[in-house]
Amino acid sequence: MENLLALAISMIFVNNFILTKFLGLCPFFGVSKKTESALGMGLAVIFVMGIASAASWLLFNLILEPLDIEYLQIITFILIIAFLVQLVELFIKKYSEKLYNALGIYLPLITTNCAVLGVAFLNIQENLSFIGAIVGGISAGVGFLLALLLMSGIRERLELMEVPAPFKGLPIAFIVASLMSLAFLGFAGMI
Amino acid sequence: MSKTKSTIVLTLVCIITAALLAGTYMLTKDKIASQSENALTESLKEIIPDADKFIEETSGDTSYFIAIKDNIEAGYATTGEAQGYGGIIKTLVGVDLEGNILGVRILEQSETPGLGDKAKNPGFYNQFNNQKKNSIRLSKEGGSIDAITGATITSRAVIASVNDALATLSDAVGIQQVGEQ
Amino acid sequence: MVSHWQEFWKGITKLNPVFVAALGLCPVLATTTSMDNAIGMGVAATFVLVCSSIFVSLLRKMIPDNVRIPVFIVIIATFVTIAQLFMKAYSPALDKSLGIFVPLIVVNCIILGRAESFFSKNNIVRSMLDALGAGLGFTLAILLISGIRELLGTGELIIFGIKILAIPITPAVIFILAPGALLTMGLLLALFNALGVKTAKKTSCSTIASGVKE
Repeated sequence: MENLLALAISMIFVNNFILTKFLGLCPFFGVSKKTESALGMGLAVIFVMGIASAASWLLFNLILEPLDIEYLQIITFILIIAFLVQLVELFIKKYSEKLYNALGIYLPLITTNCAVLGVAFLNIQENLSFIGAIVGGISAGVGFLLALLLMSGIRERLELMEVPAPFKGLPIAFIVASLMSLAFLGFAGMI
Repeated sequence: MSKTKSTIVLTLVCIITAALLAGTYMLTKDKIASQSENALTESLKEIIPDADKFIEETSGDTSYFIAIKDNIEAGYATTGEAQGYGGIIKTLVGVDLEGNILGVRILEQSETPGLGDKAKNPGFYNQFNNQKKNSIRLSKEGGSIDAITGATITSRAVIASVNDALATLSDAVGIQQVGEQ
Repeated sequence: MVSHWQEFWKGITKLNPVFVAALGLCPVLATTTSMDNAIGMGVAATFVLVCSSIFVSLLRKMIPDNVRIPVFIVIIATFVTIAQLFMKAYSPALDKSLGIFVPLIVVNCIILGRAESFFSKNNIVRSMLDALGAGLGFTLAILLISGIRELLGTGELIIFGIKILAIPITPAVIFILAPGALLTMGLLLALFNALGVKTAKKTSCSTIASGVKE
């Protein structure tokens, strides 16, 4: 049984999905301008990553592997995720109109988020147990949220600054991210 | 567009894609299996070149190889693992009947490119040739292995991985090669 | 009417998926640690792009509108799997270095985006040209980034084992590591901006998002 705490710390800090593994970048640069939307997106992603990890683990270990059809992994995983995201969207729409409107277009974007599909693959690759996969998925999501919150805090301030013209917008965002990534490099070797 | 037409098209797409996938899988699966076998066999042959063949044995939950030359046992080999800087480092270690290391090969590593991944260069792993267990420490700790510049963690991990393999062999065939110097 | 040549060329310049549209960033940053990885990734992505373009374009009049995104996904996923199987069989070392980014091609916004906005609305020839252009544009972009990262990070450029270039500087390993990727991308984008090239203002897969929502 793998060490769950070490796994969580690894996913949140040492192997931060955005700053170290480069998974989930599109929303990172797209959503991170305001802290509220960053928080909402992050929480939604954590939730989806958790259930997607569970669902994909079950699918792989109970169906794909025993039947020797592992090559269907890519197709089945992405379809499960697409399906789960639709479900989550319906659920949120029904129970919180406000949240639904706040998240708007970002919800269906979770389907194409490399981080969600990525964590599903990683759980299998690392041979995690069922609980391990769920912990892994949720921790990865927490790491994603952490990076997103840090970034939005910085970007809110950046809006008020004088940035040289060629750097305005995406370029400076990348450079900020590279500095954050540099900081997170310090976690390497911690586990 | 009617619901039946949707369903028909969807089913058709699923059938075609499933057929394509199953077909490709059939085409490639033997080659894929032999790829991983090849890597191991190649490395075994490199470490113990004059062996006629290798026989795989299991000991507990690990397996190891016996190198046969002229119908007698000439050496042993097995894999060892240790946590490196960027992931697990897996090495293949071959020893002769006295426990002298015949050679070490890096099978898997995900160390930093340009730094730790220099472990995959012969310049590094050939340092293990003709060593015994006690002398495979970093030179700065009194051993005979020069660490990779700037990649001490990786170097240590390779040593740990080799020790892991030696321990397996020690359990399996009782090689007392602790090289009491 | 846009000429055939322009359908192809726009993928490399005006609509370069990496610099102009900022699509599919994840593999761009993660697989540019070496030129070999970049070439492998580029070829795989282009393969999936072109094959998907053929199928989506062929079936475009038959796919019901409300299920088109899942159908695109299934088609793209099929070719990604095929690409991965071939890679595992004939180039296992490449498969190992690219890791999960090969299967992640399936959520690469470039492919889904082109399928949604182009392949499903144009004939096969134009779609294939568009796909080839986008694929080549993507490949050239990641070659540029990986060239910079490898050269500055290790001091040498090695393609398929042949040393192409070596510069007599002490390499800044940071370029091979994660921060270096982000830094290189940021600086390149700024450079393109300064040169007057219109680069992406934001990253988004919004075309797909609006499609999935329906």
